[in-house]
Amino acid sequence: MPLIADRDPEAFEVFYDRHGGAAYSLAYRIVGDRTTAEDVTQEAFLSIWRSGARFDRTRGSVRSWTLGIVRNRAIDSLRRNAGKAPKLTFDDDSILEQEAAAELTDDEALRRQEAAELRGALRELPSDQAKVIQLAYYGGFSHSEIAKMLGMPLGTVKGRMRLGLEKIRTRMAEGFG
Amino acid sequence: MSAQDHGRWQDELSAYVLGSLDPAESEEMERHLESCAECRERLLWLRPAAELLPESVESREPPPQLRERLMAEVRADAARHREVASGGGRRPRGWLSRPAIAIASVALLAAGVAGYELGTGGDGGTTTITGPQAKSGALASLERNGDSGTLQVSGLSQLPASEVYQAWVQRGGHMEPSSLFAARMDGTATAAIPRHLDGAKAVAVTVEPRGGSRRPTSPPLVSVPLAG
Repeated sequence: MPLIADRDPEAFEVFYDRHGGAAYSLAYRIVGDRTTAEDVTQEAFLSIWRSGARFDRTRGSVRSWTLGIVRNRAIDSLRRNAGKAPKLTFDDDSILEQEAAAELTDDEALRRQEAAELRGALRELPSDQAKVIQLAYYGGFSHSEIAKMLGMPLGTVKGRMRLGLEKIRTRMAEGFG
Repeated sequence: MSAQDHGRWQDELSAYVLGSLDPAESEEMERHLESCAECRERLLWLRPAAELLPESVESREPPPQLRERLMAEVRADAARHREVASGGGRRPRGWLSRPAIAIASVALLAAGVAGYELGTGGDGGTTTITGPQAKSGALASLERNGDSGTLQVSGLSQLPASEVYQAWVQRGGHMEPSSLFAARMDGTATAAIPRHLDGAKAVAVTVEPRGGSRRPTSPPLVSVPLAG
């Protein structure tokens, strides 16, 4: 992202337009309310802007890197407002359908379709595996915290994370179709 | 390594890519990955599954006001940056104005080296190390005395009240939280690094939400590499 590193606001605007929707959606999924999701998204993008957007290509795509920053900010916000439980289901389709598809750009419509397919794949996971993955990724809990929370041995939690992720990865390799 | 050992690491690898290991375990995993090609290969295979999780959430349209607020801050930042670059802003004073450090900084930029030891203090135990200048214009220097030190930073922006600068001690792949600090009006700041510099790879600075973070939530703004 050389133009962002050069502090070009127009390049940054394009960057936000490309990833802002996914970032806000992820922040909302984690923190569960609009105002906090907006704050988290704004903080994350400002931190990227102010850091000069130094990004290590060996660690994945710009989008994954950006969403990783958003996720960490959102988890921190959750921890600061401890007591607000994260949402723990993938059952979001009903809300999605309420939005006006006609207003979406082609890119965004495609992204939403892909996201719906991905959620379908995640829904196919056994619930015990899905639960530990959601608590870890969207809840920001460590595996030992999850073991305590669910009253199960640490080894069981780790095993379920592994089985769940392996299944998702295998489905990805097969294509979601 | 036995198959049982590998099973343990591979269970942990899933927790690692989900960001669910404790910091010490995460560091242990990164050390293991450095020496285990099989686990590195498995990490590469597994990572896309974890990267799919943020993409699979319900899509929501961010409110247009969010974009307006963000871009207003970005444009204001860019204008301040242009002003400083054109010499309209006040030049940071204090430690940076010391000729030895200023000259060393220029040498660092020219050579593109990652770190530079400037000298040893008269007490025989203090060394000053300056990192490369960040693209943001920030420059950091660490006056180290054994396991502790004092970090001096220049070229910092004033942060909104909801944010703070945080220093981190990087050890292996793990970032250990250290002091929180704010920039002075001239863009300089001083932060104590009270411990844990022995064996550390670098000291870095990030922008964090007020109150600081347990793990960095933004990429390092500037860092000072240490010899260890």
